[in-house]
Amino acid sequence: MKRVSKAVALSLMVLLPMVGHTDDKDVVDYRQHIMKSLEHQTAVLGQILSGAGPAENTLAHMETLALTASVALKSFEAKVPGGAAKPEVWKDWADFSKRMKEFADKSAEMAKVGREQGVDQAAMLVIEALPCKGCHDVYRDEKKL
Amino acid sequence: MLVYRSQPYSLLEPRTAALYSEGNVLNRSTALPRLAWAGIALAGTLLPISGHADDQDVRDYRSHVMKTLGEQFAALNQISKGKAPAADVATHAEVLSITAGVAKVAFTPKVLGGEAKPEVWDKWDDFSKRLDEMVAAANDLAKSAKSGGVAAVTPKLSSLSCKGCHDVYRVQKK
Amino acid sequence: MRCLRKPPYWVSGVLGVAVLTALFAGRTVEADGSNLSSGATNDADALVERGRYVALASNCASCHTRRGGAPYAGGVKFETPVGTIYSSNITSSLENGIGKWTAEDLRRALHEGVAADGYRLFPAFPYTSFTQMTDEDVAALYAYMRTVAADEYRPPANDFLFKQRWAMTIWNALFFEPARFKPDPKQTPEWNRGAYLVGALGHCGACHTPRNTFMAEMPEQAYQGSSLREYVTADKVRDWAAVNLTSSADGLKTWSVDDLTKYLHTGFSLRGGAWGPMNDVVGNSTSKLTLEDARAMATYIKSLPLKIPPEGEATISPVTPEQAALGQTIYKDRCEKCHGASGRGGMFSGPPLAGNPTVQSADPDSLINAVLYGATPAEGMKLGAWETMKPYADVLSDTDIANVSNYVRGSWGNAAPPVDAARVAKQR
Repeated sequence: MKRVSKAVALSLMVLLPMVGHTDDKDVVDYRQHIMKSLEHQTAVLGQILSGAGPAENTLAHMETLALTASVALKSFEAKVPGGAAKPEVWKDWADFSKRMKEFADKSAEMAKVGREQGVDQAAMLVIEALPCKGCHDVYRDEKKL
Repeated sequence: MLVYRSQPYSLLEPRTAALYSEGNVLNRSTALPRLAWAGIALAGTLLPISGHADDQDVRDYRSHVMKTLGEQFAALNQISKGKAPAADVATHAEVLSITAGVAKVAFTPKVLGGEAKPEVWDKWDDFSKRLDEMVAAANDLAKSAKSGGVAAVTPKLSSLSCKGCHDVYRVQKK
Repeated sequence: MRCLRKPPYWVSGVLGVAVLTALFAGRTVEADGSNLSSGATNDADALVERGRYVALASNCASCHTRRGGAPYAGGVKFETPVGTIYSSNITSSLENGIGKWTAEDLRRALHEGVAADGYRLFPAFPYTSFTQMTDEDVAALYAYMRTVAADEYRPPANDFLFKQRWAMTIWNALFFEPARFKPDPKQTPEWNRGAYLVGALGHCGACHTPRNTFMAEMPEQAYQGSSLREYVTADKVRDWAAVNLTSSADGLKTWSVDDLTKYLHTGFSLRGGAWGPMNDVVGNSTSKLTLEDARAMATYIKSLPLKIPPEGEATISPVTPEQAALGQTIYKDRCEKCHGASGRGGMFSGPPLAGNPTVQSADPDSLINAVLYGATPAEGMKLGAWETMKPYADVLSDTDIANVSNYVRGSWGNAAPPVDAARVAKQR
């Protein structure tokens, strides 16, 4: 019995780290799941605010947007070029990370206002909270989308 | 931001209001107080455009919602396999849960096309029930993620199989 | 009591007038709240201010101010099929501007197309629109123009044909009838205000109304779209298609009065934003008018009689599905991200292409320009949350651009005639 459990323990020690191994493709895939999610959520919010979607879901979308934005920056920390991320992301990390953090903060603020004061008020913050343009112009490679 | 007078969303063309009836309440433990719902109903007042959601808008909206579910689910799968940061598990589970909660509204207007088969409305009772089940499972997942992290989430992920529903209700992808 | 006799009957009249004057005297006070100056100065200031507004609405500055030149000093080049003409210096310079002009001189120029020394103006100066200006607005404009700082710039001489001013007598006889604006009693005051702003001051028809062989606007096709030529540099021209402003399918059908008001007032609406030659119009003129005036213009424009395609256009068939299909992959790779798979754009992505007048114009020049050169708003204006459209001139070939243009011109209900690669080449 002892020998079996020792063997089991040894193999686990060898195998477990391999289970957790993240390769480059995983990194790119994960951050793309996040960014694409953001794209969809931004789109639906835009639909609702222009009267082409169900207003009752406004707050839900603001919440999910804020939550997703909160994990976006970290997904770029691993310096793995690929997908549509230009090398500038890491070359200008100070600026990139500052912008991502602003995005996370402002969308969190928007969701908070939505929860506490109603989506009317939150909608006022929407343009500020979603500065996709400024960042994408610099850091996203249009040809690789 | 300039404020333009426009009609509140709920008072817009009858079709729009009817399309998205206000009978659907977010299926979340933190239900919004009534006052917040009033605020949401007035959402159109200060928002720029008077609205008209047509068929394509309905299709686009539900496509975005379902695709968000797909992306979040994929992210959770990666996390459960150790291929993405474990610390993010609660966030994605929460997003999944909230998004699942709005899916039914997305399918309420009977607009054929996109990837939705006519069965969605022909068998609305069953479809609707399955959506409810998905919401319940997603809410449960979110709770587990908060309290037990990846370890608690991994075994439950399989309970969120998309295939069963998609086989019946989604147009097969070629 | 005996001391309190009833006052004479006329006292109440005097008192009444005094009260009313006190109440309404405040109405003629300047926006800055000053009511201490004498009545005469107040009125004069008000007149100049009104004239300044008329000049904004008429967008004098855009045609009379050359790049790098002083305001209103002229020198903007207009190349027509029959030669080149330059805009004149209309500053208050005595030698080189209109400093010597009387109020009647200015009125004659605006209403009849005749300058102070009797020579006739060419309709590159849209006196054919300004003839509708009210006498009050003309007087106000005169008061304002007197305050414009003098500049001694002399524009270059016009080409030969544009020195033959006698020829204008014939042209005017054929195509011009001086006439003040007459409000339509059947319409609302707002509509009439819009008709005046669009037709008389804004002279939108100068670009948006097709012209005949003699370059006269054709009133029976008012605002149905035309072409114009931009001088990018001294020797590089770029043609544009000014869209059909009526609400037919290839015009502003999908735009509401609200959308158009926002466009004029801020340069941005969810149906589309101002870019290209409209930057001068929105940036220098309409965005500086009141919101009410912008709404009036939008109300009028949305009421225009629909364009019915003239015989020539009706026989050009729209893009075929086969032609459109050639551009589908390019669209998916390059355009879909911002303009959407369903061509509807989005609040945070880009303008809709479905039902878009630029896309649907029979004349594809503006559409091609958008793809070649991108689209940027006027200085200081933003296109909402939209990402800037990049230029694709170096990335897509003429054939590619023709194909993707055909795709958008034939999808989602759009039905515009096809574009060929040669047209794209011409626009480079």
